[in-house]
Amino acid sequence: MPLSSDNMLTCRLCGQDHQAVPLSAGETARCVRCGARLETEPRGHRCTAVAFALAGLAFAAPAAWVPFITVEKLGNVRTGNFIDGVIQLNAHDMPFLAAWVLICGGIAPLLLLGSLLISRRHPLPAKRLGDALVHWSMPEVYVLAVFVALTRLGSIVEVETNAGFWSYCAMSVALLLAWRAFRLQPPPEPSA
Amino acid sequence: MMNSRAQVSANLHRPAALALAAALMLIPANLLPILDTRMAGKARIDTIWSGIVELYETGLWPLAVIVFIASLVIPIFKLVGLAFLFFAAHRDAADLSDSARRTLTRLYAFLDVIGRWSMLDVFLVAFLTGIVRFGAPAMVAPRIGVVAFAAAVVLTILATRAFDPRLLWATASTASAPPSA
Repeated sequence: MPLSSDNMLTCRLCGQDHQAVPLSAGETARCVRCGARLETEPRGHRCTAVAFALAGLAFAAPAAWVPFITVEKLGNVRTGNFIDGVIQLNAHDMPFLAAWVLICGGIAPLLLLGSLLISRRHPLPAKRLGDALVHWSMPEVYVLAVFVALTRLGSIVEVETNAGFWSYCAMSVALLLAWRAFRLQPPPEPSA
Repeated sequence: MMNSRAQVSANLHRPAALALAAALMLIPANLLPILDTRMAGKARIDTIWSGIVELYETGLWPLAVIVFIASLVIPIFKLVGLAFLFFAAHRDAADLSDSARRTLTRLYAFLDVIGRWSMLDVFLVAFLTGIVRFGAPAMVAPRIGVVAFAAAVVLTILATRAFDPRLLWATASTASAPPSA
């Protein structure tokens, strides 16, 4: 939610202005007019979002390079991961689709994790970047697609799941938890 | 001013144009093939619908339901929902009761959340293309329909983002209270 300098919260959905009040952990503020969630005070430490973002980035490296699955067919073995799909779409003369998959499944989640990583020191730019990216970051949808592909292939050929896929799942969950734990902190009160 | 009808109507041009483009894109997306599969001695070319039917016929009906919801129900529900919101904002924003405005705002928030799941089929095609590459005996290749479908999904997301739900509240009185906890 936009938080202006005079501590006013404006509802993203109906435009109603609210005076921001302190919330206790786990408490949610809702808009008086439309009922939309304005803010939820996260449980846990103020650094939780940064910790989850760091975990997500740590999982991103194996998610990018370790195979997701291994498929065996007539003695031939093939491995594949996220990047292979992007490369093959490009090889089939679909560069825009390849770029789109790369953005939604790879680049946007990584940038979102990066913005959450700096959210403690630079909350406002992190919030702006995050709000812009969150709609295009869809790793959880990619995870579901791989599950569907796995089951479908598993009914025809021999399929083995590899560490790359589990790393990607872990990255996706860490991103979700980091985004949930992130809250724009009101400007700190000047201490005496 | 926000609450003049002409202004409301002008604010609806962009999202309505994007939604219309998305609706048009859904036609080739559903008529053209999205996937070319050669596996287990069989070659087949699938559209979105035939892919769902194939999943169902091979006994993988839970997957068929998931893909059916992601690829058919969500895009159509989203476009119908958006059309409904545009209509409400354009015609009777001034006559709406607060509870109707609240319901419509919830509908908007719901449409905003579910849109991303339509990308399932696009990711599925991308992943299968990347993994099933055994040359002639077994391969999967994307077909042009998937590009149209991806375009429809992007346009629907953009249309939702372009619509300002505050238009539904443009003529409402503002409440003056702290947020309820």
